[in-house]
Amino acid sequence: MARKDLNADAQQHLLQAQTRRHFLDTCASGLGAMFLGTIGGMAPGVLRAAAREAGGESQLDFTRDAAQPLSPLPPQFAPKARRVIFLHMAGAPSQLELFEHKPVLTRFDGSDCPASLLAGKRFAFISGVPKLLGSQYPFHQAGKSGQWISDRLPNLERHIDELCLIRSMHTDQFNHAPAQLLVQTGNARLGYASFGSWVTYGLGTENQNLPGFIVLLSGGKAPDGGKQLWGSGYLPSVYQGVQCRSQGEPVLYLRNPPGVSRPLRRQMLDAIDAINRDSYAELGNPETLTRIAQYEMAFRMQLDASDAMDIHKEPAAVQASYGVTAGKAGFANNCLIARRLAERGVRFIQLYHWGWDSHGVSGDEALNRGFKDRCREVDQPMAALLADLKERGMLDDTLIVWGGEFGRTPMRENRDGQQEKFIGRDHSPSAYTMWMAGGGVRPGMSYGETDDMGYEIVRDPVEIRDLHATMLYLLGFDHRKLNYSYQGLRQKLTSVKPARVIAELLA
Amino acid sequence: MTLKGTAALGCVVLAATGVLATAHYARSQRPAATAVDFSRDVRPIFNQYCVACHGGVRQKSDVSFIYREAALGKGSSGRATIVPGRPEASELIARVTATDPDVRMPLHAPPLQPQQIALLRQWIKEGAKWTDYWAFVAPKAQPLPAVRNSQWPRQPMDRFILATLEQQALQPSPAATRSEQLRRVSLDLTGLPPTEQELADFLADKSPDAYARQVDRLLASPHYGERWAALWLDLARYADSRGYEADHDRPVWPYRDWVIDAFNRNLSYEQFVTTQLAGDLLPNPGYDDRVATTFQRLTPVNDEGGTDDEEYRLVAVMDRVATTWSVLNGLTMNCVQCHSHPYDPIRHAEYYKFLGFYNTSRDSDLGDDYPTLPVPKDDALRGEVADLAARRTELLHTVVSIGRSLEDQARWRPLPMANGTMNEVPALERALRAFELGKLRRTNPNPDAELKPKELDKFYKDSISGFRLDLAHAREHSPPVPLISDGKGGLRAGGTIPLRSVFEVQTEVPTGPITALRIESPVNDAARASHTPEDGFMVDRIGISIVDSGGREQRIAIRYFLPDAEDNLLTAVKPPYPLSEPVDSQMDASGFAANPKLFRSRWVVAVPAQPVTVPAGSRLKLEVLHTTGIDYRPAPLRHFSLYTSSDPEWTSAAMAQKLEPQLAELVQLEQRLERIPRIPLPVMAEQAVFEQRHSLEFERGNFMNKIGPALQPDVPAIFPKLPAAAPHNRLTMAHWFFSKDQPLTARVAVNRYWEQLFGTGLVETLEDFGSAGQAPSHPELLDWLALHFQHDLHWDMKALLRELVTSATYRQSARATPALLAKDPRNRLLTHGPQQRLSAEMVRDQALVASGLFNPAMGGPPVKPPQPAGVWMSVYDDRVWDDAKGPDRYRRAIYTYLRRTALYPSFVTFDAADHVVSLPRRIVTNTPLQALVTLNDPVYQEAGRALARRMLARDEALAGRLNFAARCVLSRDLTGNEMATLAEFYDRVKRPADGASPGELAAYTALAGVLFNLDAALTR
Repeated sequence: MARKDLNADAQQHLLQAQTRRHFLDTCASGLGAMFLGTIGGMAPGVLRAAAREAGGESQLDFTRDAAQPLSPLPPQFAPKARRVIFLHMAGAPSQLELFEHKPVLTRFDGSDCPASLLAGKRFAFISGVPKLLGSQYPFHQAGKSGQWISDRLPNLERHIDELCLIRSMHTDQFNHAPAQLLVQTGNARLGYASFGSWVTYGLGTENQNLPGFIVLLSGGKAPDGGKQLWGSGYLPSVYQGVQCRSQGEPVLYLRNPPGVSRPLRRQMLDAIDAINRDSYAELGNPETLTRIAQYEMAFRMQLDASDAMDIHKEPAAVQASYGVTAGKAGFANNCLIARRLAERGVRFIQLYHWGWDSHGVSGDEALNRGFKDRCREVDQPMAALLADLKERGMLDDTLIVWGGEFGRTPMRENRDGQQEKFIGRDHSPSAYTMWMAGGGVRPGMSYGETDDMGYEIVRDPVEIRDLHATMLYLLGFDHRKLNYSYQGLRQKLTSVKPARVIAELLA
Repeated sequence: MTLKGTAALGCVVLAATGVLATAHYARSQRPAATAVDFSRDVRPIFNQYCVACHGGVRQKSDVSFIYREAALGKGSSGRATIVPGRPEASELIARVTATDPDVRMPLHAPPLQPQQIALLRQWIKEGAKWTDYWAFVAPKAQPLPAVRNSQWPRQPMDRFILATLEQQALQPSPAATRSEQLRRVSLDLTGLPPTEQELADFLADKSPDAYARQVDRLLASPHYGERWAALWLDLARYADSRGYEADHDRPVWPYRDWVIDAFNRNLSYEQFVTTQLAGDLLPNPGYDDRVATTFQRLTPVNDEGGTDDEEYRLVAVMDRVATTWSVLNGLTMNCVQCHSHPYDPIRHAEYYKFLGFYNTSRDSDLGDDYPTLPVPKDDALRGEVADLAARRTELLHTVVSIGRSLEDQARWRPLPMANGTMNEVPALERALRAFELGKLRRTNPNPDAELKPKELDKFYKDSISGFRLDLAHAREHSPPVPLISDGKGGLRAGGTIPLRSVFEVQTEVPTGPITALRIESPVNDAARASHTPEDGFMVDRIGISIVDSGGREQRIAIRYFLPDAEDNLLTAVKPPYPLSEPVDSQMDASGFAANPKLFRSRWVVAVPAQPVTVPAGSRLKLEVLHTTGIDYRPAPLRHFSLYTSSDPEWTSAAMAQKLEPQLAELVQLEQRLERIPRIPLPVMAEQAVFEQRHSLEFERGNFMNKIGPALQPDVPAIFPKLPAAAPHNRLTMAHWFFSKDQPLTARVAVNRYWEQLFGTGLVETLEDFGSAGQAPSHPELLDWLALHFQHDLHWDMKALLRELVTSATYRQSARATPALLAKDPRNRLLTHGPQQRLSAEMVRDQALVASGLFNPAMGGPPVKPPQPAGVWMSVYDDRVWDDAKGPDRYRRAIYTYLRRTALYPSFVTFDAADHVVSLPRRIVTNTPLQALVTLNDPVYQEAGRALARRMLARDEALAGRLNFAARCVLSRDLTGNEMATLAEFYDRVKRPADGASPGELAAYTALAGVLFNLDAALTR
């Protein structure tokens, strides 16, 4: 078969895939029509009511041509956010040193923790009667929105009026690996699909020469949950996150091996292509056509991925604003890469920064030592990322999410019944703070409230599945409609318990 | 990847896999039936439109369509949902035909199609007959269908395929070329392509049974076991590491080798599975039977500090339930963890009855993987170690039995304690002293990992300075804390408890000799603790002395301690940790713990060397030392009582004779084992009857909230019953899966083999045979094969494979014409032969074999072939991946180290399993990242260079060399077109525009690179 015909074949496949997205029940009064017709002006409250009544029987079609498993699909309804940058602070940063101003706790600093705060709690390390621990850093109100913030994040503070702080995040996991799995896959056990893989499954990605879901690590360690945090679980493996590196090859096996120049590679691919076309003519297997397309894409990816990851192509001023360090893997470099990837149409970009587990057992894991360094490492780059996206007009449709996997106790950790040598806090699943910005999020607000100890939520608790439902809503999905049939269930990111879109967080 | 729905009843197609869609092929095969068939016509409507609200999970308005009796009952409206014979009286019909949107079902969704409503009406009119879903009914004997083309079938199964084709006026394809057949069957049976020699031999063999002889050769090859083990390891969620945060090494490769060997020995599927599920419970289990049970222990272990071991023990138990059902019956039992099954007739409590089979194994998410089987690193010692292990099992059992019966028959007097103290300082002093002594003697703290002198110095320097700081702090801030009387003579510890502590108790003792002293840690609530345990404890040493009125202490020599169960006895006889104090110094070792949890009252009996008489005015002093804690947390005796006995039996010579030699032998045996380098292989071991945990239903799957009575282990009622006389234990359960009427075990097994050979299962959803899965494409063939495998072949796996790969269906050409593709795009009818992409393992192994680099060594510890730097960077684990040097670089893929949190990247790219949960089916993808692997991964570079050298070593022209390489990589000669393309490529490479011609080796390496990346190389 001539190449021209093949290309026509491939075009045809693609076209079919792109037009195949539709509601399968095209009933004019169906839920689909309602979403499509009115979502722009619909109050989220109305949306919730409508979704509840729907019974969930109309289904979205995620069928794609095999050659284009990551081809872009339109969302269910008009999205606010087209891509996500998720900044996961692995180890769980203390909300009490960053965003939760608790003068009452400070007043009781050093006194025995009342029994009422300990009853019925499971702790990772605290035992017996620990002491209360006030915040280690001063707080003040900032910006027009007057939100409370400590003195640890002076650069981020300049954007406080862009941030939507959720002070009432809640989880039921108090160990790192399962808690991170819950944040990233909606389930604390192994084997579930990650948020990023759901989004690339649902929306595909805009740049076929780059992976659609890219993960970048800093802090010298992988997060506790390991690569399952960006795994695809039961979804096809093509939707899993691709870990890119800011040192060495940006994508594994991206570079031609020694002795293979780009022209030679082109010649090899031409020979492969010619012979594969013969094979297709002989056996007629459509997968062969797909393979031909994938080899071409690999060739383009070699250039495009290297280019996307090369932050030295940025003007010096931009590099300086992020505080990048040439040739080093670091959070600042990753933030700048994240912006470059976002610009190039990568759907889901995830940064993990390790080292927030401030138990106080060592200097590096102490609120009065390592924690300060972590804050310094992330403060300037996060602020630069927000400013940079805004300047490029991309903040409006890029959803930024920041947070850890749980919070930290208002008690000072007393592992083994001993006061730790440094100052630290144990894991606390009951309440913690995350923030979002851009991408349809209401800026300059705080949602939810905790008690005087910053320990329990007293108003507007947010479950992780609520956060997921809200994020998916911003991306243009009813979270129950983004599903995949596996083992007899319509598997969903938000799992089986009811999840709600938090209307108050939406712009 | 093709994600296509199958149209069902001309209506809604589900997203993605179309799992709920009904039997398209099954229907099209049947003559149009007059009567409505419930399973075929009605259940799919219920499943798709009704059961989400009226099913196993939710029964809104008390209406459910899972069981007939419920569907015939009345909803909360008071009206009967279905009245057999009377559609007009059935609320179901009223609701689906209603016009009011607030009444019509499905609620606020599009109405059912008129023909669907008609089906429901007709079905009710005909009596609303309910038939069990096909998968829950045992396979029925199937006659071999008549076919017109009687020449074509080579095996009975071919007649089923052909009959379907003939019904659809289709023809099978001609046989594939001989080289195509050999490539397909070699890769399918052994995972390796034929060597050039094997190909030549086959092509030269003109005898009529030449192909059959190749099949026999391949089935007899040791590589056969390696190929099929790779599949089984996906199901077994095999990995060389533990999973979760720390993801440390877990050497379980002896199990992997057992699986390979079991395939090669052609263990029957029944024996293969039964041994893995319950080999430890077989009559007189052998060493290998216990190795096989590691299958159950491959569940991830959570070693993260501060986790609840009971929570993760149950996660593992539930994983075993899900894995057993998924692997053996293709059922989604995990759906029943929190509620009754949404689609299938399995009730919530039945899940927990089944869980009972697994809830009484001894493992409990411990860091040391207890219980384990020692496996020597040196294979030559295997027999010796097997004998030691068997003897140890026997001795542990005997000693505990004797001890328990003595304890039971003895008369015990409570010895009330009025007060005592918890002291941190002396515990720290002891620890410090032990470490100082260790430093002097240069004791290696960890016998499994020899430290270098510098590391040893640093270890002691850090630990000793740490202890000194702790001690200084404790002296200032940690005074003795009183223990609290429980009002009944026992004591409790409370408040802030340090990790290390010594409890000190002095008490009055009545006159008269004491022959035994019993220390008990009672549970607070025995009924509850039997299923929901209380905090565990870990006592390291116990000392008993007499203190006279002047305060002088006299140590009571303890002849032996008798623990209440085998776990503690094993601890007691193990050689002490290198840095614990010498046993005879101050206190005696005990073996008294509830690690990690307290399910029942625990006790230990201390038997003095001589009966002790405490003089009037003197007191008995008890010291209890805690040094280790559990899972980094303090774990002292939180509550304890003392009892004494004066029975002479304890110290009688007869008793000494009965017990002491065994105890001594155990100690010796442990010391002998200690000297043999070995790995502790996690295996299954059952709790003794007296210590078995109880299983209750977890309310909505929450392990902290159990409800109802204790449940007897059992199988769900939809299935055949367990044999009447058999004990309801794990072994009976394992045998039950292979009982005559078990409807699914054989079907699921033959379907898995089918899928491996033909690319798609007869039931496409290997992971779900339940009513939400897909119906079989050839139901009669599935039943015929299942019964044939079970009854004629007696679960002989090689015999089944032989029949499948020698069938005419399998040997067809893979050529698909556009007309066929249009009619049957996914080749479900098998009009042509299968063409599948190589698995992740095959892609690598083929390159090694073709290049001649292949190292065929089998078994042993996993190897680390080259992997890009920085893939491993786990928290709290500083191990690095050191690329193997020498022949270990070229081992088969199955021997590659499999780390759960950082899998071998090129395998992941080619859809390998993640090995954290059982994977029933790999979904094959086709991506650019795969191209990058075979183009750029150094493994393929090395293989390309090696193949280039092989080509250059041949005294032939370019064409001959290329054909040689093609035979190695593609298992055939090149076509004229292909040859021309490659020759032209060679010319261009050798004569580049810029003039600098690369060497021959570079040019041939590029040629090899092209070959490895051809579609024909990546498929079979």
